[in-house]
Amino acid sequence: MKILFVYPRFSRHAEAHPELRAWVPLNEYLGSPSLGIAAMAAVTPDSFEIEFRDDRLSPADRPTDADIVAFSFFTPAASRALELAAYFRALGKQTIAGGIFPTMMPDVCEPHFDAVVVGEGEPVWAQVLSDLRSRALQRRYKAGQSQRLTDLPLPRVDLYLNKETGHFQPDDYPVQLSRGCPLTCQACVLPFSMTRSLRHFSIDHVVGQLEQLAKRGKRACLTEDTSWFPGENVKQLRLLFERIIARGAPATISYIGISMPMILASSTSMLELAKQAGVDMFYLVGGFDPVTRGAFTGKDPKSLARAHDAVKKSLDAGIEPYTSFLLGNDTDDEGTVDRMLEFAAASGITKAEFAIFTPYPGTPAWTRLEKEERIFDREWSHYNDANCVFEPRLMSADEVTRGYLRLWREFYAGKDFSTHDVAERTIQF
Amino acid sequence: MTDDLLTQRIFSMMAELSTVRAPDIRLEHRLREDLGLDSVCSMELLSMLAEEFELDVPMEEAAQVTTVAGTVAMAQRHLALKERAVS
Repeated sequence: MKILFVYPRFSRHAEAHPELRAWVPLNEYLGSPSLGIAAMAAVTPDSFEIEFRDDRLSPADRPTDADIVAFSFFTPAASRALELAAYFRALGKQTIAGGIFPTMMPDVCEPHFDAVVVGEGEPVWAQVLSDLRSRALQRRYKAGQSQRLTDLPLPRVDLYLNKETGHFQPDDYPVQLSRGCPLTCQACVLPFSMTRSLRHFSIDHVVGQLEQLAKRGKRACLTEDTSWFPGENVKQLRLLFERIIARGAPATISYIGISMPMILASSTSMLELAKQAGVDMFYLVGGFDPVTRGAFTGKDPKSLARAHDAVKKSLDAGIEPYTSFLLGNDTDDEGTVDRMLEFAAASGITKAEFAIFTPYPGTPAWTRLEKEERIFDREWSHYNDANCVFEPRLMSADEVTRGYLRLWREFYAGKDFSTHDVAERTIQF
Repeated sequence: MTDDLLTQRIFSMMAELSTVRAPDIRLEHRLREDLGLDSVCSMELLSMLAEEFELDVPMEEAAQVTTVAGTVAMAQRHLALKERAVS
């Protein structure tokens, strides 16, 4: 049998607002697909032939000799996934949906696919494939327990790497250190899609992920803020940095995700170790944590001071804080944009991205805004951080969108990156 | 370290993260509702405890704590465990 894995396309900032291309003096970067398909391909027996299509690179709705079409997608790609499922079903193919959106919205997906996988795919994949062979596919599969990460093989990132073209050559690919999170932050889906059980890959597995990328000349991006959490998490991260340093092969990590509270909570020695291991950039995510939620309200000088401290601590460690600002929180008002721009200028941030608060299905924010009847747009392709899909509290949806565009325009106005090397003048937007 | 000193130190840490001043923090305060400390703040607080007292508190345990008194009790418990391990 043959499986076609499909990664449906979605619209990014510059596709939703093409004027950004004129305002942002940086190269636009199309990143790697998320790891879902690589992870599922890794646990697919060799008896199955595998094909992979990245719908962002060329439309996936082309004829195929595959028997099964398996999709992995998150909310921004959901509308396109449903469209593609209809195409392949019309060709008589069996279709399977997995990933964050099918996990959080299985009822929406079920009419469009032959089967929906809810939660982590690996625990149920053997059953799905067995049912496919016997033509007895169930409508829904859900793992009874969290996947033991120590049992997993390395993800098949070769499927992604083999799709590179002259126009699509990411210099980094995602690497996973852990899955799950015991916290329940209002805008995060992780504890609900990957369970509240925080589990770690072994350091050997993580180094294995890094090495298979390094062999192809690629670096790793680590997006999880959970890596910096105290206890076992930060111990693992420290161990990873030490292994990288001991191997004498730094610069294997392009960036690592973090939030301001985690920078503030991290010891200076830990940040120095990260730098020594070749981490030159943080992807500093804001808008979800109490520091950045308070800093731009104009009423919380302590949080503003702490935000400055976090950026300074990062810069002092020699790690560039590529900062993501989020507009549209319930405390944001018409002065927030000015306050964000002032902060960005005063703190010395040179690269930033700007996003509109988006209540992704399955998050506590989605549940709360649904209850308050403030969500007015259910076109999933608009759930991409570049559109306002709900009624903000202190601003109108139009004001939030205009503010978001102003942030992009004014932050980058007059900035010149021509002396930076290619990697430094490239961002995903 | 005495229990009083530990409690005062934890109040100071909480005040760094909260809009409530250390002298106004009470043991019966709830972290989220009274001090405005959400789950990310709890992680930061846990990191501060780990750093200052070299405690190794599992995140899952810390995530269950909802009050100031619970935080102090958790720190006391782990300090005692640490002392026992050393002796």
